[in-house]
Amino acid sequence: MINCELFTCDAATKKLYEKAKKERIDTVWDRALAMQPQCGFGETGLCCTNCSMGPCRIVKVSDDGPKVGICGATEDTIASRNFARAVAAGSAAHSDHGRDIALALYHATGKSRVKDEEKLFKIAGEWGIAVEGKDASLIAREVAEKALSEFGKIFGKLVFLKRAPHKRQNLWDELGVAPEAIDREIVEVLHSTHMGSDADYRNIIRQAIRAALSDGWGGSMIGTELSDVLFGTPAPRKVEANLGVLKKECVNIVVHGHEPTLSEAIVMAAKDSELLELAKKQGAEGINVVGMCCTGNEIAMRHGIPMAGDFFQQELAIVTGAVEAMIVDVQCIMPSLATVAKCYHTKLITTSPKAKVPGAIHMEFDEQKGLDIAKRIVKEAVMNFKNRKGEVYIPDVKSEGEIGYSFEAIIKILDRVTNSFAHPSGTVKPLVDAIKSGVLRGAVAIVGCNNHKQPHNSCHVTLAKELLRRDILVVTTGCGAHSCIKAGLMSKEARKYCGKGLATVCELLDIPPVLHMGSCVDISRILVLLSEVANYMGVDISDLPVAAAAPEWMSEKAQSIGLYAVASGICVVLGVSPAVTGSENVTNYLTKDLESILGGRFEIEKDPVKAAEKIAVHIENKRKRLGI
Amino acid sequence: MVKILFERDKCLGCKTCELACAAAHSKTKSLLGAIKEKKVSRIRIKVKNGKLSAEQCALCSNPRCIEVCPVGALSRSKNGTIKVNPLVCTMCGLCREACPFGAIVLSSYPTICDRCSEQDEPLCAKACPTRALKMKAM
Repeated sequence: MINCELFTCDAATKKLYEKAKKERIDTVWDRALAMQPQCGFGETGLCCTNCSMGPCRIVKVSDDGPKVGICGATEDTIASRNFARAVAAGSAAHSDHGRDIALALYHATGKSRVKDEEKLFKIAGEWGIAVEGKDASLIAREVAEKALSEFGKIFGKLVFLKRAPHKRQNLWDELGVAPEAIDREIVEVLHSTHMGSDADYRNIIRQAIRAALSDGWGGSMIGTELSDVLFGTPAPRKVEANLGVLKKECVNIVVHGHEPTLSEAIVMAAKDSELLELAKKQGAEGINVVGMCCTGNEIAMRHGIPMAGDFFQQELAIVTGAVEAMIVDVQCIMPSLATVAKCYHTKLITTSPKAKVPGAIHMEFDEQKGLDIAKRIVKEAVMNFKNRKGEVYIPDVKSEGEIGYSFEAIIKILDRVTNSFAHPSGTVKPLVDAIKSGVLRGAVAIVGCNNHKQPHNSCHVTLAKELLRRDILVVTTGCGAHSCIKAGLMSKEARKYCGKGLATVCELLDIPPVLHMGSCVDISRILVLLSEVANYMGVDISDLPVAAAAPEWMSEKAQSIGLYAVASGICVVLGVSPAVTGSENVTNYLTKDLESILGGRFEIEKDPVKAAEKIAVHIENKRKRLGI
Repeated sequence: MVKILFERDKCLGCKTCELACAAAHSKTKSLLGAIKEKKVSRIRIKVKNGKLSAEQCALCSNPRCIEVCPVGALSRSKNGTIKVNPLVCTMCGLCREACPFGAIVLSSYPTICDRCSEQDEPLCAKACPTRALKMKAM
């Protein structure tokens, strides 16, 4: 048995891991241990399987090992091709999520289906869609059509690129990295990394940057913006987090995955009086819907649904023995869930045609018949309540925090401290003033997943605390957000971790020092905020005293996010090395050379304390250059 | 006698040696055959106390496995490797427990590295892409 004290700092996780061990359930940590040693070729990006002459492996540790692939591809070519393909896959995942949301908006009929008309009109205006004399559902349809055309338009560039500062847009144009159509950029990565196409690692990474930008300023941004239109723009609210939010006496439904279309319908269905009645008949006190991973972030922000846990807690939720159904859609769903669910009464229900899991019940979700299907799914869970077996154990571990700091919400908060006589409202002036005066040294986004190569949660939390101490504001999304709320960093009491400057800012604005900005597609909100700040200051994003960190990242999406952040001018500190370290050239290119080209770069630092030190130095350097 | 030297610093943990070993002991001498025949590798690359190590028969001078076998199923062959008489072996597992190197796996009978005696050289060493495994004739 692994000593769980070493691999996580989260109390609920420790307790449930022990239950899992007692019940002989294998979890992600056990499988990670069994996987050791992991292949060094794969880890360093030096294995190529792009054609069937391979697999080819570049051997750097002995003199007589092959130094090029069978086709002649060098380590630089192979490592950069692997990296670019990972970025393309990540961009594809985010962007396809965006497309699904746009399709949902397209099919949304009737006024009530559009929650945030103000935002709809704003986007329509931004995209040159006339709004006069049209009702909201027609505008929604036109906005959705325009969004959908972004994926495959023949000419021109992505419309959201215009949100970036002018300097940044010009730089992208000069370098030829401004993405044209989202699908096309992903296709071009796959084409150029096909056997016998691109062999120049710099050109391969250039194309990867295009695909990544088409995620951040394309697919992800469409996903975020249109989700807000459809389901409402998040505003600050209190929620509970961690596995302690499961309720022993209730039917527990865990919604896990990414797209809010499904989870919104489940949340509505769980309020249905007939189903509640049915739950009572089955002996339950009610229906308790909780969210996991990014779905958890989405429904927590919009409905105050408790955030049950992060990526590494998905199996442990089932191990409680109290989960009637785990309803999943796409991305970050461990296939192991089906195996774990078999040991308990839990029903694993897949809902997306893009993600089926052997051993799960597939109940396909269809946006047009959303609520009906959701009710059927919830009923499945309710009827399963009586089948509970074995020991039910819900650790009494939960914390509370304030979440839902969308860009719009942040602007509204800043308006509270804007002098309405002297300055216009709706700007980032107070934030810029705080940064300029030095009360706030800068801001850092802590994002990303969980990875067994790093201690669970503790990297996110340690890094956040180290930054807060240095008067650096932290914004977070995805599983980074789960880590922070569980550690209490999204409560107002967390001000005790802050330096004097940041504590004062939090007090004046009445905000927690770590701002929850959403799910992983919502990193686009951070791009919008940074653009607004850069525009207000008349500089580029790369001039701002900001950085990003992904201390526990694991997914291909994270690589895409990392690269679009770098290409947007941000320094990104990774806690886990991407699979490129086998090539010194590619590693140097990503961690050094890119800075002089795009203003952003990657930095690899496993230790969160050292990462915080590096970030602080980076931020102070940026401040010096700005003369503030 | 053939020794197989393991250079820890060169090993990348890719386990190509394990695949090659299983393939070498299959009827068709192929990986696919080995998988079908459920052949197990006679070498295993593991992480022990944070360090990479190779589990493989070390051809001890006084093999404990032979000593503990209650039915005398294990013996040393001319080339120095340990061979198993499957007709006598009862699969009790004492040899596995006795081996200080964790080199014995109980598959259909105890499988112990035979240094690929029918080949020119052990196929694990031949397959190693980083030359972390090297053959040495004694």
